[in-house]
This record gives sequence, C-alpha cells and structure tokens, in this order.
Amino acid sequence: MPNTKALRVRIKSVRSTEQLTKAMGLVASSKIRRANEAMYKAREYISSLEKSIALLTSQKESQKSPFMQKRDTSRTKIIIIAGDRGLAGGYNANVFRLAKEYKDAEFIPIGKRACERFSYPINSSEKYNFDNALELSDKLSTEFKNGEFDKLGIIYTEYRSIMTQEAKIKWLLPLEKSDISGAEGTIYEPDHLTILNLSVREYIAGSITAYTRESFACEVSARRMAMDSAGKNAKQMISDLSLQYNRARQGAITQEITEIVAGAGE
Amino acid sequence: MKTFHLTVSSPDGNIFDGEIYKLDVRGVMGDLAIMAGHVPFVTSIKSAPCKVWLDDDNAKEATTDGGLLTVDKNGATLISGSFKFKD
Repeated sequence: MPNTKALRVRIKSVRSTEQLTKAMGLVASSKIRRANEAMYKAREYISSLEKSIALLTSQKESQKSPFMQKRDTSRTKIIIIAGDRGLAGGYNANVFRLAKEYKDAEFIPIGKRACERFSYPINSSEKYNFDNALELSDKLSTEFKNGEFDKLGIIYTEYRSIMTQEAKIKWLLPLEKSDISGAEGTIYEPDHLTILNLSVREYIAGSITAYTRESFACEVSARRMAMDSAGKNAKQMISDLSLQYNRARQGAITQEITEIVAGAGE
Repeated sequence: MKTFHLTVSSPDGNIFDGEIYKLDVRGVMGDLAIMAGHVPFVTSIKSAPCKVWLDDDNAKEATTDGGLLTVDKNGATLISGSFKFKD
C-alpha cells in the first residue's frame, strides 16, 4: 500500500512547482506585448536600412568597397543571440544546435546563457541597446576592413507567431550585390562608395539591435508556452497523486475498521 | 508654403512621421537644408544638432548620432540609430 505521508509531500511539492510555473508564465505574458512592439519597430527600421544598403550595393563603383570583398579564406565570426534565462522550452537549445553546424567559427555571444556557454563576459540580451550594438559594430567593421576575418554572420531566432519560432543564421558581411535600381537622376553625395562605407557601421549595429529584439520576443513567447504546458502537466500530476492519496487513505481506514470488527468478534 | 513628408526611422520606431517645411542637417560634405521639390538625393548624415521646420517660423531642434538621408519624389527618409528631439 502506498505511503500516504510520502504522497502528501509529493502533492505539496508539485503544487509549489505549479505556482512557480504560473508566476513565470505571468511574468512572460506581461513582457510579450512590450517585446513584440519593440520587435516590430526595429523590423521596420532594419527593413528601411536594408533597402537603402541594397540600393547602394547595386551600383558598379560600390564593388570596390572593402565590405563587399569576398576572400578565399574562411575565417568566420558569428554573433549568437540566446536568452538570459532558461525554462523557455527549446529556445536556447535550438540556437546552440544551429551554432554547432559552424565548428570553425568564432562566436560573439549576446545573452547570459550564450555568454556562459562560450565563456564570455556576461551581457544581457533583454537590456542590449543600440549603443552596445554600435560599439560591437565599430570593432567588427574595422576588423573586417583590415582583413582580420572574412565572413560575419548572426544567429538569432525568427519570430513567426507566439507558437512558432525558428533559429536562423543571416550573413551580414561581405555585403551581397543587389539588383534593385534607384530613381533616375538620384544624386549621391559625395558618391556611392563613401556613403556605403559610412553606412555599414550603422547597418551592422541596426541588424544586431533588430535581431536581439526579435530574439527576445521569441524568448518570452517560448517561455510563456513552456510555462503553460508545465502548469497543465503539474495540474494533471496533482490530480493523479490526489487520487492515489485518497485511495491509500480509504484503504487504510477500511483496514482499520476490518481489524476493529475482527477484534470485537473474538 | 510648400511642405513635404519626412519620416525619421530609428530602432525605437518612427520618431517623426509627418509634413514639414524644411529639414536642416549636417551631411558628410557640410550643412544642408532639404525643402519641398528637392531632387532625388542620398547622403550620409554626421552626428550633429539638426532642425525640423514645421513651418517657416516653427522649428523643432533635435540631435542625431548620424545616419542615412534619402530624398525621393515621395519625401525624405532619415534612417538614424539615434535621433532625439529636445524638449
């Protein structure tokens, strides 16, 4: 017969886990709206910036830019964005799984979990702002220009809906030539090449900021879903354990009554 | 008074989106002013104070950390990582 005391202890422990998941789910819910707003605003900004960069890279003279040079060697640097905390379903694991495909790359982590994994000074993906991104962008664009590495990518999580997110990689440098053409007679001051070279710093910083915000929106959504399902599992477990506990209690009472009746009959 | 549309896009959303009379900024080649009917134009903007003229005697002062200014037939777009209006 199951031990009623042990069952009571387990029910209490599962109940406290249920409360914890509920609290974490509520915190994630309160952050979802703000995180999504920030993501959509940054997406709008980066899409305008990408369009302008595409206009510049479509020009013939822009091909001379050091940021468009494809080199034979493949020293790769990848910025990897993960979360600050765990308990967000497969959010962090999916990002790290994708990172494993690039064994020779040097990783630059954003987010506490990523920093811990790659033994880097801790930074927070939730609080990562444009100034932090600009600092990193300055460093990386100078190194790329000096030929210290040949390819720059960013691993982030793409937000599709509150239920679906996917880890992805986007290559930022070298810039690809685009086919779009601008309006006839547009004046470029001083010229395409100078504007392109000056804009790369902002393009990288803007991309880092936008993808960090998108990844954070994914993190809170993933946590909310994970906590919802953990809460449901906890409820089911409490119900199963309560049933077991009641059966055990009833069994013990029946046994006691049987023993009393048997004793009285002697 | 002729006006044109200005959009100031930053990672925090559109800081400004509306009709203006004139835009004063500092480009890589020096200070410049954009008014309605300007030719299609693209330049880099330097980190400097700038002015958004809502009409000929009402200007809003701002500071920017630099960015990319595009002018086309639909108006002007300033893409800047940091653009802040003074109170």
